[in-house]
Amino acid sequence: MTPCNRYTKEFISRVADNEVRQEAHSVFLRHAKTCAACAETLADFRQMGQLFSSHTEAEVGRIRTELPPITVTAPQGAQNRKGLWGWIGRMGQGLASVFGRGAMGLKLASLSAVALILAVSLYTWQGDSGNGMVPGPSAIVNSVDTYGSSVMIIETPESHHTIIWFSET
Amino acid sequence: MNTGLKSVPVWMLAWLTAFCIVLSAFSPALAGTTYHTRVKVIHATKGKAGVDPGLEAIAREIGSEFNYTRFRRISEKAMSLSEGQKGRITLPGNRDLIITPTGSNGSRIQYHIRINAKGNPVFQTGVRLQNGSSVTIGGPRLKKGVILINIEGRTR
Ligand SMILES: [Zn+2]
Repeated sequence: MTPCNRYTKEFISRVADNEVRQEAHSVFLRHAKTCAACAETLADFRQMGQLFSSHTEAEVGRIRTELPPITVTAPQGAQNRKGLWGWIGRMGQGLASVFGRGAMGLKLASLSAVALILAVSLYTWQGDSGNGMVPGPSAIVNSVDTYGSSVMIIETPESHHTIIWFSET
Repeated sequence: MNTGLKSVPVWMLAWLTAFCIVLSAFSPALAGTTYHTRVKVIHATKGKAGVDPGLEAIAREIGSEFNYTRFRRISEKAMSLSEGQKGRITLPGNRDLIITPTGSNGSRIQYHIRINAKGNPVFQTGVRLQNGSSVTIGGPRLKKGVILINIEGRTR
């Protein structure tokens, strides 16, 4: 099998962890259909992730762990930010259909869009402030790759602090 | 004064004002999220008990699960990273830590974390860290003890 210089192992590992943006993810998957080296590396990383999940659960049974399933969603923040202007535009258009067409309708719609955004952003800030810590462990571990050494994931009982412990070989 | 101001309708001025307010409120978002990332590198041993100032919480967390009693700060680095930007920290024993924020949904920040030893990866993980909270990675050996890496992240 010919080695591939187009993608690094780190990148492929991130694809396996669903840490790569949607477009880059799709572009890579298309490439992997015709590149055996990349397809194999991806399969390895995915298998490692699954092995890791079952291995950890067996090994640290006595310690309370939380290893949620690996999610398939792209980071929401990234999508939101990227689409902010598009979103404003779409909202303006949507509201324009409510307020009627024509210059005045569009202006009214834009003004309402601005008011709506302001309301949404204020609401979000309020939701985030205070001691609005989301429940659960301090960190959710999506994937771990230890290159042969063993690993434990621990959530401390009181403060739910996540500790990832690996023993070097 | 015969500028164009008079001819600008009131509603348009009101609209502009509202727009400016919203724009200023959103400017941090438009500029892209900044991931304030603080990395503490700690040496934990089982010697005579002692905790460096600022490490009490970590000492408590680790002490409750492992038998380490002595916690010394090796280094501490605060970084302001943008999405996808790599932050590098030199660790003892010819090791490096590379940390990259890869996204956030407001309540959790996604980080990719890698440790290299002599240039080769020995550990990597993808975590979703609570905004404003921290995660501790432990295990690399150092002089009768271990290295602990405490990573704190927040976007505001
Ligand atoms: Zn390839």
